[in-house]
Amino acid sequence: MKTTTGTLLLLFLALAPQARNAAAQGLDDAAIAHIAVTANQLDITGAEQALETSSDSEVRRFAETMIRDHRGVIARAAALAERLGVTPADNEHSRVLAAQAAAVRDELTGLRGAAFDRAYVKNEVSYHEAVIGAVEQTLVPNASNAELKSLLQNVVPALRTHLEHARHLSEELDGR
Amino acid sequence: MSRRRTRVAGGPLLVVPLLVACGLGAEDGPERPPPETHTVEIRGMAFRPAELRVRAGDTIVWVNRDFVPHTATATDSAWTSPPLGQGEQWRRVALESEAGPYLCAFHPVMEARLVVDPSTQE
Repeated sequence: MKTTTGTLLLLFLALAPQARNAAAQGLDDAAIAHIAVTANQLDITGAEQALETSSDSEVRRFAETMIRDHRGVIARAAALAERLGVTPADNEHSRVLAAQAAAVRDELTGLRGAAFDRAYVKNEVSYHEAVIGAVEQTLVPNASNAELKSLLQNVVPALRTHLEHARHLSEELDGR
Repeated sequence: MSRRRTRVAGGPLLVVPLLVACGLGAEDGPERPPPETHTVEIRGMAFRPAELRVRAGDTIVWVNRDFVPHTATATDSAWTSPPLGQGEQWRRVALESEAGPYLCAFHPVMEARLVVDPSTQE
């Protein structure tokens, strides 16, 4: 796997000096909401690919949890955005994320069996590491609305559990 | 010469209260405390408390406070809750035979333990 969605996300959202200047980065609440929704949707899309490809019960259980949980986050984010009258705004960060995720999906498409399982789960590890970093270091600090900030903070425990789950699974797959 | 007969006042009527006062005639063994209800909160992607000690016959209530769904599922699959959404709860009467580790089937890194003491233990 040459690059991962997580690596690119980290580059764009977690560079400390630049990330502090929300305006320069175009990181208003509308953009932050869009990035949050996009990041969740990309993990769902990756999980759907895993369910189409993998026959491993533990990989499938992980993918089903990703779909279930990230759909829940999107629903909450969408409900909050509607209540606040904030329309998630497409932006360069979201577009880059989506493009990189598409590239990862293409790479995974060429894999089958254990090779797919290991690559998928390894990408999930790096993706969740990067998303947690971006949420804590950039999205939360730059969110203006307190409820949006709180929603993002409340997602972090689930993201950390996903990361731990992915790490355990990655070790298990590497040990086979 | 007449025989003197000595009688104890009350005679047989004293016997039963005396026996009761000594605890004889009562059922043997310790009394069972009344069953209690215990709550496990699923919050912040963890079971709280992580280890719960109850007596057999007590009721355990799992309540999901997270916005992602969870289950409470015995590690050996002997018992499981249904999927619990936010605010939903599930209750189960504790059996000694079902003590042991359990986890969330959706997030298996979330682990906990149930300790079940005999019902007569204080």
